[in-house]
Amino acid sequence: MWKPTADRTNSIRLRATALAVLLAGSLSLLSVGCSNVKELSYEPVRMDPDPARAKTKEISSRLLEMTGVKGKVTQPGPSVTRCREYGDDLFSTDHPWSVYEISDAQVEEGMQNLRKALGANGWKITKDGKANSQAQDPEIYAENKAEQFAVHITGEKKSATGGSLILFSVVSACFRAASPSALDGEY
Amino acid sequence: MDYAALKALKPSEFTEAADGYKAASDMADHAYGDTEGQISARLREGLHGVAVEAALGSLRDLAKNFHYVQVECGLAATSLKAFAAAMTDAKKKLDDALEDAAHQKLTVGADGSVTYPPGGEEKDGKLPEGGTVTGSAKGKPAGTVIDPTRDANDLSAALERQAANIHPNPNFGKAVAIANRIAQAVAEATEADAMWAPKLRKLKADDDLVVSDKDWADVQGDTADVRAGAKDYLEHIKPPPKGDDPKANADWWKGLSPDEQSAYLSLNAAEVGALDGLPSVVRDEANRTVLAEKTAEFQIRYDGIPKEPQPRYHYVQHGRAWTREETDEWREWNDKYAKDKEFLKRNLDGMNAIQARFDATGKEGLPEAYLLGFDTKGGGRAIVANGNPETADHTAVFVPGTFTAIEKSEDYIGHMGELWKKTHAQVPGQNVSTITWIGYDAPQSIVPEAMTKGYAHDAAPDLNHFMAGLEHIQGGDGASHTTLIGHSYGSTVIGAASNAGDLRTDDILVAGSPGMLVGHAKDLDVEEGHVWSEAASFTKDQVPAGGKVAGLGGGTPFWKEILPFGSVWGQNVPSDEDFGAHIMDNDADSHTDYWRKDSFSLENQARVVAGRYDKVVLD
Repeated sequence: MWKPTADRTNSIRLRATALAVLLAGSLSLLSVGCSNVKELSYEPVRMDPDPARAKTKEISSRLLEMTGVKGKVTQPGPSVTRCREYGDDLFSTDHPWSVYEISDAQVEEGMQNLRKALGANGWKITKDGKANSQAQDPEIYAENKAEQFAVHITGEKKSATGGSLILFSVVSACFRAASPSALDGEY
Repeated sequence: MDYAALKALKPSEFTEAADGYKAASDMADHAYGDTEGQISARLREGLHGVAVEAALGSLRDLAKNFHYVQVECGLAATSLKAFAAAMTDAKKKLDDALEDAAHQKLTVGADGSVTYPPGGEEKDGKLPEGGTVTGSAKGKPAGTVIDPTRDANDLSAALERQAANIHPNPNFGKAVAIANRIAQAVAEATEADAMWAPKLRKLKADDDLVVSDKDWADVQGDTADVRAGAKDYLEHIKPPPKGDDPKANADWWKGLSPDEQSAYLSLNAAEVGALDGLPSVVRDEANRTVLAEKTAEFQIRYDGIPKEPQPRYHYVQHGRAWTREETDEWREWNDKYAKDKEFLKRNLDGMNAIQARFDATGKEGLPEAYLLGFDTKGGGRAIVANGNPETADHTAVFVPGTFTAIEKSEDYIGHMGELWKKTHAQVPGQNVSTITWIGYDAPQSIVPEAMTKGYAHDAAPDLNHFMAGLEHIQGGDGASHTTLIGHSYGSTVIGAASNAGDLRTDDILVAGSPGMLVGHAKDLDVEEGHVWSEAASFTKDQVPAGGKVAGLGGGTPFWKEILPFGSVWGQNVPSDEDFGAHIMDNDADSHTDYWRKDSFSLENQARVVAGRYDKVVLD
């Protein structure tokens, strides 16, 4: 059986210690990274959570109009989440919703309408292509710098896993609340 | 309590009163639910402005009142039931004694005395005369080795037997026996009365409309009081089975009568709330009581901590040099209070965040929430469901990672609220439940705690039981499509749970996983193709690489002997291609700063949770 000599044990121990130090260093960098406040590339607008929710719903309504497809629309409104990585008094809204009980043709039509209408309504399309999913559904990314919102739209065609729908994720930039505690209990 | 009172007493009246309190408790429970879920939600839907906010504030206070009424009336009902049980016992003894008296031609007077007729052998042509005796109850034995009461009881019984034996009228002995039984029954009734009267009086609330922290803290005292008093009554109720079998728990609960269920719940809320396999509404009711009591208790304790002395430092001269030192006063305060204060603050933050989630039900379509687990021990436990899991077509259970503790409740509960909305948008018309499972003591540091597997192995059985309980209340294996989501170290917990045996889930989805204690996706307890992994690139997320070094993946054992923490370079973590999970896209390809990493990855997670696998965006 192989038995380490004292020298060899020492050298292994040394190597192990060196690796431990290295690793501890890189991982503590990571934990510091969590608490470090990152810089935003824009100055957050001062806004309270409820007006931010109202504004998000308004943006969603306008997107629905641009889609120009008549179907059912899911009811829930936006959530408020802290932008913790940028500061405890900052938050953004996130509004997922969909137009459903529509046909695949309506999905196409809605996506086509959006391609035309987004630009005319202050949105810049940042990506227009196919999602890298098995279904390869069409997707559009767009942002509205003036309003400080971004949207991801997927035209989900009918498949074995469910019906056709146009799925929207409307997200806001980070806004600044009155104080960190003003965001306590906001969901 | 005397003979006349016990004779006239109808224990059923107390049972009826108990039923009344039970009904009041149930009514308050419904009203509590309605105020939170229905009225506030409706108000929010149609109206906006300062008046609505004020109304919502008042409704929250009202909901608190209803909750308090529910719990206290529940205690009152149990107390009255226990009291009635004691009285029924005493009354039965009395009735039996009276019946026997009538058989033996003895007359019982209005004061409980027993009159016996002349009888026995004639002496000098005269029948021994009748007479009247009053009985005495036995003293209550103390149960100690040297028990003067028992000795005295034995002695008095012997003397009575002797007296009866030498008495010329045999009816005398019979009368004494009956009179004693009557006295015994009255004594027992008196004892129950004396014990319960102050307890029931204490249950009376102060008559203001504010349910204060003190009121809730008092509930804990009341509960302990009632539990102590109702010991005999509770002994009739079977306790939950030993072990953590969710089915056995469920059967136990179903086997209790509604009265027994509410008695057991009102006196053992924390125990009932933690039982996997019990209906969500039952666990929710129990845990919310514990939450309200603990919040109040911790707030009172927190408020009782004296202010941190200022200034913290002063300057002290040592020879010619001045040094800055902590003051004695501050150090004393620090030693005595700092740790406690920090502990209380952490828990209060978490508990307030959980309560805030209940208050937010209905706001922007947020579904009703269920508190399926709650505890303040260790790092704290909180299991919160968005939407009732019992009726869910799609269920997600989220196991957070390193640093998980109750104070992170806001983030983790918020996370699952968002996932609920994102899933709902993808399968409109189907029921969704998303659950935050802060159910284990997670590592509180990356080095060295998260480097060990111990936390995961400790947590695994709890997760297994919870998942099995979930499946049971949902109605079996095929009833709900279930996804288990693990963040960072949470995925290691899932791996350990999967290795530990039968993990009741359909899909496993991990994000930033440092390893799952297995080498390949196929080693996990789900069907092939149902393991999903999200990981950012190495520069953004070092956790998976760190996990490899720490040996949380699966792989060859050889190097573990040599490298620190039993580490292994080259073992598989879920974001490795060789691991065999579907690698999901984790970053918005949007060239804009507005996307938080979470919002996009949650959208993709929702596709798995919704079972729309073909729509999942891959890396």
